[in-house]
Amino acid sequence: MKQVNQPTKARILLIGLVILACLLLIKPSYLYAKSVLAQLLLNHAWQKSLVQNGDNDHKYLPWQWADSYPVAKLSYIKGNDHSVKNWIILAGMTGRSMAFAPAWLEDSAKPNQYGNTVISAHNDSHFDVLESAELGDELVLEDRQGKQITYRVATIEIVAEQNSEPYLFQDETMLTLITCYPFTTTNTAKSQRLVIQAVAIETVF
Amino acid sequence: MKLSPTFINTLIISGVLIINVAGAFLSMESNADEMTNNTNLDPREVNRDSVQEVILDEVSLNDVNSGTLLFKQNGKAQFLQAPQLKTEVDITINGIVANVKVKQKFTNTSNEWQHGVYAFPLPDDSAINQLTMRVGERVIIGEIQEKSQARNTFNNAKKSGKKAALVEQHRPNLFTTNIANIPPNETVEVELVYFQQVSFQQVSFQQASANQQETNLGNNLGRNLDNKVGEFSLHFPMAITPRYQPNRAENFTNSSNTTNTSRTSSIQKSVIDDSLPQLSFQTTKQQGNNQTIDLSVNLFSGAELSQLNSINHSLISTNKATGHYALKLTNQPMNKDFKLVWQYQQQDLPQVLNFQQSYHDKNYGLLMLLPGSLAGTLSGAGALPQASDVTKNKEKASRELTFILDTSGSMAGNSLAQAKQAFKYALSSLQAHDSFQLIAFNSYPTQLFSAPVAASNQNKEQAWRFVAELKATGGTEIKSALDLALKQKVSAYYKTQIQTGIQTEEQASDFLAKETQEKDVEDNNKLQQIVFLTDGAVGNEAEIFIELAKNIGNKRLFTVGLGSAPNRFFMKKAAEIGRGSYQFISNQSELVKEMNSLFTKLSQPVLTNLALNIAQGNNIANQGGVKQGNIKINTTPNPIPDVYAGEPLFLSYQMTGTQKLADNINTEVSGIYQGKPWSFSINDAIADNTIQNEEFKSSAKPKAIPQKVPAPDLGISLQANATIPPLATLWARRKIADHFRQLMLYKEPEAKANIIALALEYHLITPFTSLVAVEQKISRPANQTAKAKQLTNTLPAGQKLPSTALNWQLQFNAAICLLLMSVISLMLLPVREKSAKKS
Repeated sequence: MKQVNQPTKARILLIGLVILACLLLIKPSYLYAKSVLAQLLLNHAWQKSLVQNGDNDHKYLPWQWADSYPVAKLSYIKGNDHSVKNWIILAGMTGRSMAFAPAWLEDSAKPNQYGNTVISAHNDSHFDVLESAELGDELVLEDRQGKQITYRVATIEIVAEQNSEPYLFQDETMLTLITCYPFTTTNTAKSQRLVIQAVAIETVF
Repeated sequence: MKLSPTFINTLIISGVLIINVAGAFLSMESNADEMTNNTNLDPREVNRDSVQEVILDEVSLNDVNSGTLLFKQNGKAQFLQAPQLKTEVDITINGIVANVKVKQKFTNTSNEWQHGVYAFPLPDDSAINQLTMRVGERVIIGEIQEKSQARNTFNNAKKSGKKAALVEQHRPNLFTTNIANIPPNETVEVELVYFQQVSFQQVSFQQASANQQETNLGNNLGRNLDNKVGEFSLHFPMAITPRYQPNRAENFTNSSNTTNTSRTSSIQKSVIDDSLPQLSFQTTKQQGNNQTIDLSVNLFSGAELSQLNSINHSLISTNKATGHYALKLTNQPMNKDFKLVWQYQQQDLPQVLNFQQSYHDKNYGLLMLLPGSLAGTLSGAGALPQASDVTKNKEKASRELTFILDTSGSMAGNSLAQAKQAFKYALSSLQAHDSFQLIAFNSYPTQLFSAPVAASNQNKEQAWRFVAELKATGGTEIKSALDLALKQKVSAYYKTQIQTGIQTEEQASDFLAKETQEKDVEDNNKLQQIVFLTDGAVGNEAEIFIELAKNIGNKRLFTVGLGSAPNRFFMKKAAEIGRGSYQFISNQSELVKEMNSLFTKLSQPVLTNLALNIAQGNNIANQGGVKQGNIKINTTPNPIPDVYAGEPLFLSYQMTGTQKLADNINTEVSGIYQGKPWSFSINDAIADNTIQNEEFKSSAKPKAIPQKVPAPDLGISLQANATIPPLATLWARRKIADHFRQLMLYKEPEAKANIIALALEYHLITPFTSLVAVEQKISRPANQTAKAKQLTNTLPAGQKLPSTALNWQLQFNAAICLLLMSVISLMLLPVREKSAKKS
């Protein structure tokens, strides 16, 4: 009796573990999947808002219950191998919008306009590629009017999270990308930020 | 072989450990990459063999705690601290602004020529006005110059390469400037003048006030302010205590491109480029035993102070005249920061203090409106007979509160729950004669009542039930919500100050009799407050502002931004148009606390409908850039916000054309105090370079008896040189901030030109101008450029950069690991069963 019972117990235990593991998988997978899948929907909304560029104020919501809207499209071109990454940027730097896409700080300059445009995203979803960012890499920002401006990475810095300097207004058309640092996998909040600043190659203002 | 749970646990833990170790290893690799990136030292190093005769302390720029001259070292991020001979500090405080003059002497005790950096940690909210440095016969004078548009500030940063290896504790307010070629055994004299805004805060103050419960306004809200007292403080850094710290990468980025001698520039580069981490700990001895400081303070408070203390030093204070205090500190060792703290005597009634200084034929003034302690409650002062009289006659103005609550999806969870709590508190702060309205909005606004209703218990309960069921979902359409709030009964009641005042009094007298008939008028009489809470985006700001300016009428708008997303330009500007205040709450957990204090404040208005008028004979012209003959008064902020209990108002103004007409002008502040017109005349001859100090006690009646105090004899430091008076600086700074907002909002090119013009005239550092140190009396005209500091920061203090990590990977890895292991063991189980059976 006992001989038979032991493996059954173990089996129940193991099945329980499998279920536990699956449950544990749900949240992280959901978080990551959200960030990937949202880009598809966002792309759609972005195309729509590009087509209707006459109507500036209309906000094309990527899905019906969305509380943000796409404002720009950012392409990251790595200097040496010319690999390209594209993201649709959402307005409003809230945790909610950053879960789906890189987010634009509404206080900062509007995309492709004179001033400092600040965009941030999670370092383990969209902005993971920034870990290998180098000076001279190029960023192309396309605004809702369809205008494209190329920015060149000029500084890469790591700052403490209390440092508000990346938000500073600059007398220049430029782009500031912010993501958490370091890129190591942890479960705790990171107190440092990687700040990449890029300057427009052609002058606008 | 049995599979015990402990075995499985061990398996899991070891699996997780392996992943962690692998992760750490990978990250170490990438760190190593960064480190190697930083080893590219500039090969062109000069002066490598400079040996120090005297052992000086090694410090990094981050360690600088007071004005210090530092010598650069080749190939090292650390600096040597130059011995200091003497420090003299002169501080003149006018109300809430201070001019600080620092004179410091250093020597180069070595036998070598040195390149130095002078560093001074500026206190918060300060700006350098003047800088003069003397090295032997050379004189270097700091000038404000327009930044050349062509120069790319990033060029230098590019050269410095990736300095990502180490994290800098950033020092945002450290002023640094270079001094090249300091001869051996030469003295360096630095003279620095900076403007500083005095900090103000409410501090708890224990008061044995047993007689608080009396009076008709004894609600529990007032008590929050009971034991709070407004405290002003000024801080001057003078501690030379370099801490024990690991050597770190230098954060010294020089944003200038001006030509230096080749020698200088190469050395500079070696300093900049050297970001190789040195992990040795530098121990520095305690310095400052033999260094002394002479410090003198002239404090023009305008009224008597109840307290004047220096936190770290004991000093001699003399009261020269009413509202003028002189303090002296001589030969003090420089080991502690100087911090001066003062408090005004608690007055029962609002107090108006006026300060004026003239610069370039214009008068600059500062009006301090201190709300009396009587405003909210009767604290200790309640015993005074005069005060209690007033209380009896006092009619507490009723108000109408409209709360606009963002219920968009981003408010989900804690944010909305906290906002609800705050609203509950707001409801409890309403009295029976007040009225309120609630508008909740996401993609569409919803109003609870068709029109604002009386704050009866029944209505409050209904509102609370409504709020409790609100759910966070949908988008953020701010405009429609604001429109809805603004279009609720706009009245033309407060069109002119004086007329309004008279009407109010009439109404007040037979208020009860006419209550029903004059319902409309009564509504208009109410102070209409709109509290607007959002954590979301505001798109079409310009359009909203126009609407707002058109429809705001006599309503007050208070904006509360939650999180890091809200559009700060919008929130600030909207509150300014709406004569309210703005608030940013970055931390959700503080929402209830902050909102409660806002609602408490809103329940205790002291002076409303303030205006600055110029009266000439019988003519009265309103403030806000209205010309009266030759005289023109510009105020910032404009329009003038209200004064609430415990929150003094600091109004800065510029008056032009007053010199000739001085005798005929009668300037007065007017407003509504406890439902009755109130005014106070701040006129008087405005003499050159003097500050008019007046103390005044107004009564609730329109007739005020000013207590005049003769203008104190001063001009000690103000007249001494062509220093820009701090009041003018204050005005210019506020003006620049206004222009700056315009620039950001409407992208007006003129705004930029205005900023540059103002910055040049008032010697201010802005994003478009920088302080350039120009060397005089030497063949080469321009030698060095000071580091341009950017003072405009759109972030409120304490704000953090957004948190940008999903942190999904660790759990994902762990879960996968667990899954794999349990599945494998599960598959192995039948095999084991078989073997168990066999045996």
